[in-house]
Amino acid sequence: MEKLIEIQDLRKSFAGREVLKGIDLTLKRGENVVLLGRSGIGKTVLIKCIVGLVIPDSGIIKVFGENIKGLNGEGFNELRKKVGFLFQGGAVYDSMTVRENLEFPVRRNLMIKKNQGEIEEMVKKALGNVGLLDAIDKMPSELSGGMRKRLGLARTLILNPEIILYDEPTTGLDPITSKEIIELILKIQEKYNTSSIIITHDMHCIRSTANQILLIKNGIIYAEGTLSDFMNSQDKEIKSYFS
Amino acid sequence: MNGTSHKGFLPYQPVREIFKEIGAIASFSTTVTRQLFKRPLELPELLRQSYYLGYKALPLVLITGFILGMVLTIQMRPLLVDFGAESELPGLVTISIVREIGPVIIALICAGKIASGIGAELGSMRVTEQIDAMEVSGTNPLKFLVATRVLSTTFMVPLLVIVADFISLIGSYTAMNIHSNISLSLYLSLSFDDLTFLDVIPATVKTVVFGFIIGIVGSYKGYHAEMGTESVGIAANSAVVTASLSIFVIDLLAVQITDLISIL
Repeated sequence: MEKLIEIQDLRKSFAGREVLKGIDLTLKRGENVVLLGRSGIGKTVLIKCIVGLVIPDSGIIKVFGENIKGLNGEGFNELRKKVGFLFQGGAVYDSMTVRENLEFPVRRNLMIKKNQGEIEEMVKKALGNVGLLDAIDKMPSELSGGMRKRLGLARTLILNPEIILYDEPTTGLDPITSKEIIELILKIQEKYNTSSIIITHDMHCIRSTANQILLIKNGIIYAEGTLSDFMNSQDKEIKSYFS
Repeated sequence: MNGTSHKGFLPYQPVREIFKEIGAIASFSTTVTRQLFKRPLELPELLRQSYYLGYKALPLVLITGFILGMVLTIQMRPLLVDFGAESELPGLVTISIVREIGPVIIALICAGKIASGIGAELGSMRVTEQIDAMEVSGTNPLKFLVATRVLSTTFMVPLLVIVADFISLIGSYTAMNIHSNISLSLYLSLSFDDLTFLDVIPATVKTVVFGFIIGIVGSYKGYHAEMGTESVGIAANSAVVTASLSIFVIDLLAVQITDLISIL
């Protein structure tokens, strides 16, 4: 299977504290990789490094075979069109309506020159995918936490990315909304053949989505395997997540 | 040279922090200024920000300007009447307002309203990862969010000051008419008689710098807000404090420069 993301010996420190101490990770086409680990261990930093939001101290990150270290602003823009990012809180633009939130990445992408009718169609399709068509003219302040996350997901999907990075997609949501988001992730993967890296602590999310699980501990990959490997593991640390 | 002797040069942590902050703001200003010359021009966002930052501050500026002119006239009048120089009052008030009080007071008002607003808005966008989301969407947030706001304040603050100066004169005229009966045309004639370009030009240039400072300080504080909701309040608060302090320092420098020019 084609390797979409390859990370080798990634290191990152903040104020003298080394958070990532040599991470290796591979994401293959059509695969879902789940990142596990305690809060503050550097999981979000890791996926932010992939899209250039955080600059690593050392190590290699190859996305679609290209080392991102050599990318300039335009190169990153091209990369970011193919790599979507769902932020923990949705990160929807508070000053814009739902429609404007979705129009924004389309209009800003200079490579995509579309007329208003085409953009409207893209917006409605993306909102339809996440079941938010009725909220098209609402402001984000009128939306619930789950709706905001779905809006964030719709904004990520509108440019049809090949890879989606999910930062705790179900955190802070009630079980029913969590289930809806998980179903949405699976539906998107099936429909658009996306590959994903998912940061989550939600066992239901892990069980439903993970093809591969990586457990980060003390800045390194502590364990790696499939769901059944982790379920059957006798390791104390792993068991604490799956008991 | 060891670390101790280096620390000995600036012994106080707060002093070091102030210099670090000045350096960081100067570096941020350079980066933002570079963005102003890059495409796309972000004209719609620039106009939107000019409306929100400039037009929305207008009522506050108008009220302040009117009261300022009135108070200044009411306070000065008895002094000048004692010397039999009441006719000098319009000129005196006008020069005070145009040269100094108008630009500084209105800039401080703008620091309170605009810089804190920018600091809080960008701080909140930083905390909720909206700035990161913007970057991921292929938008340069320094250009779209910061450069547009800085350019707006650079244009709008001088305009607000000009409007406030004029309203101050109306306030002054109103105050004068409490005790004496003077026509508006005579008042304006007396007001502008003593006014020269050396009063107007440096004051206007000064307000352009004030506008830039208000925009850049507010943006810097908000853009660099740390994670956590508390930092939004800190960003807004420190934006006002830093911008206000900067206005006084720049005013002091501007007065010195104007003084030197007038001597030459």
